[in-house]
Amino acid sequence: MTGITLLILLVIMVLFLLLALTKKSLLKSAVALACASVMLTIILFILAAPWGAVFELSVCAGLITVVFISTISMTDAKSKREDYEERKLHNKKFAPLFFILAVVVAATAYFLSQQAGIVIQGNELGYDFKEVLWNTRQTDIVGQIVLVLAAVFGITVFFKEVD
Amino acid sequence: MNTVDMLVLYSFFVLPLAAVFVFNLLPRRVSDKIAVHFLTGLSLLVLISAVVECIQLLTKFDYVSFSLLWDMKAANASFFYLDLTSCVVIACTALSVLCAALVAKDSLRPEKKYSFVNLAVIIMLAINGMVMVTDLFSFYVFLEVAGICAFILVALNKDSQGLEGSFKYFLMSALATAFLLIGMAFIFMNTGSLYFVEIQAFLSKSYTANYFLFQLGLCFVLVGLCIKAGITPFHGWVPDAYQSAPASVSVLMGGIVTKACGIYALIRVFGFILPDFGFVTDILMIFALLAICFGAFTAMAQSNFKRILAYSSISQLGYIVLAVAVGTPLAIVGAVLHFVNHSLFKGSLFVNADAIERETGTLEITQLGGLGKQMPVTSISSVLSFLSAAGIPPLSGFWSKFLIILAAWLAGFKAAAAIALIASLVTIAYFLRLQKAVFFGKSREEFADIKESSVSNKAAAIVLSALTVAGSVLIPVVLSVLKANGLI
Repeated sequence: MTGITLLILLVIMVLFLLLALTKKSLLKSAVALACASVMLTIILFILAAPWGAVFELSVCAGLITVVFISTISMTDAKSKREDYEERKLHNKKFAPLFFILAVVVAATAYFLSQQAGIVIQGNELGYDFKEVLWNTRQTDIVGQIVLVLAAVFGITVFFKEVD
Repeated sequence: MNTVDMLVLYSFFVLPLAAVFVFNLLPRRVSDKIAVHFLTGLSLLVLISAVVECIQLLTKFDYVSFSLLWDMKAANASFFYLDLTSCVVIACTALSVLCAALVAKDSLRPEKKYSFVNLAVIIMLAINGMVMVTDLFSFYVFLEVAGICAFILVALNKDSQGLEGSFKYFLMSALATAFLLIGMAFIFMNTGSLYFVEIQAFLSKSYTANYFLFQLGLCFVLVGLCIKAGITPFHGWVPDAYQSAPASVSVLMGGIVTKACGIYALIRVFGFILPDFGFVTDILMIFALLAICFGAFTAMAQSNFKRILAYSSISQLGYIVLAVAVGTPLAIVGAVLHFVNHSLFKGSLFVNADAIERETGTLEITQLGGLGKQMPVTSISSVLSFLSAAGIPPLSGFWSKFLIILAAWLAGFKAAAAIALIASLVTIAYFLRLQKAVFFGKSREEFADIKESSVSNKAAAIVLSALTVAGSVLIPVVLSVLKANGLI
């Protein structure tokens, strides 16, 4: 039963990710990405990885979506001409990327299904979430701070600065 | 840990982090005005701290392990760890940021300086974090941060060339990320940990039935890091990113970012954590020789100054990968020294490229000529850097190349050593062509009025060239200290 649930959730997640990549509206893309993150959160909970699930939900589905949507609110709508040019570029540039990603994901999934016996089931260390976050993963907290700063300045360069 | 150690370590991380906040809390008018001076001062402080710590580590032959924010209680906690190699990379990063700041002073548009300073400090933070962490996942997080900042910086001017270069870099970076994450997942599935120490402990035990999965994971990590480093055959993004980036960003990218994100990671993972790792050695050796030859021969066919430097970088980084593949202590010392030397001479050549572009408005070498008389500092600095890159004695580049080729020869890779030596001659050839076309020969009429570049640009070129010359004396001293302590 868990296997089928997982498979369905995985398929839904991939569909949301494809939507996020293909939607022309940035807002719809951001929402689709958040939905994919929620699916991944559920998958992680089912796979007994609650820390991963909590991080995924708080950072990817929550924080990142807020950052995306606030950024999109800073942008203006495109003219019809720009829209047409963008659509041409969009389709051409992303086609090989989709193909490469699909091949990598399919090969990995196939390989993992062959190696099913060795997947580590859940966490065996016995720490609770708070303990893990503060007592063992200090470097991740510093990393997250720096990552958020990089994202903020990236948004400033691409969307806020007027040339 | 004594007080000096504490102060120094805080200056690697807490100081830049605090600096970002302080810089952004200032009124925008003030921060725009002081932007470049702020970055120059900050990188100088970090550089001094790194040099002090390098000397401490070199004399004690020790490492420092510490918790940055609070003491951690768990036994397998992820903490920060600093050894001589990490400290050298931190010093190179600070030096490259310093030179990029000096170049940015006159070359970058005033409204771009604010973002440049913020992103350059975050790159410094990310590289400092990357070299000090003790587990593969944290390593990946900092690697990504540096990568993200780099492709934002390449597109800083938002012109079509910059955006194209940045987009290519971004796509290749995304592919590298996929490889790295899949590789790490395979390693974790097999070893149950991503801590460097625990992976090493796993390898020292008898191999399990799923050892193949571990090997596959290593292959994925290897390919991911080679893409990040721009090693042949994954070099597609390098020339465009280098050529299209603003001058100060090229100095930063050529000086440290590509090397730290790809090459340092290769040295750390395959030189220190998993040395002599069977098939990985073979793959690395093939990539290294491809990069050395392809970079050198393609550089011969280029006519744009920055593109020549980009292909030259691919070739020079190939030497470092060759040393990692050889894997002996002598080769790893050679790799680290060539890493430092490459930061110096390539940083200097990018500073020279900026000076030439600003004065003449072009970097096409067919349109240049006879600039040596009008731009003596740029010319001398360029010649010194090229001699060092070509491995001409006694400059610093000679020592590192000599060590790498010697180590390859002694380890039995005689054909690889011979190829590396021949490619070094090609390096001389393309740099001679570049120097002749740009600085020597008859002066062109349209360049009759040009003069030497700005003071800050000259300062950056002089500092890097002086260090290249100083390296010719310092490297033998460092080698004798290492030999006296039985490390090589």
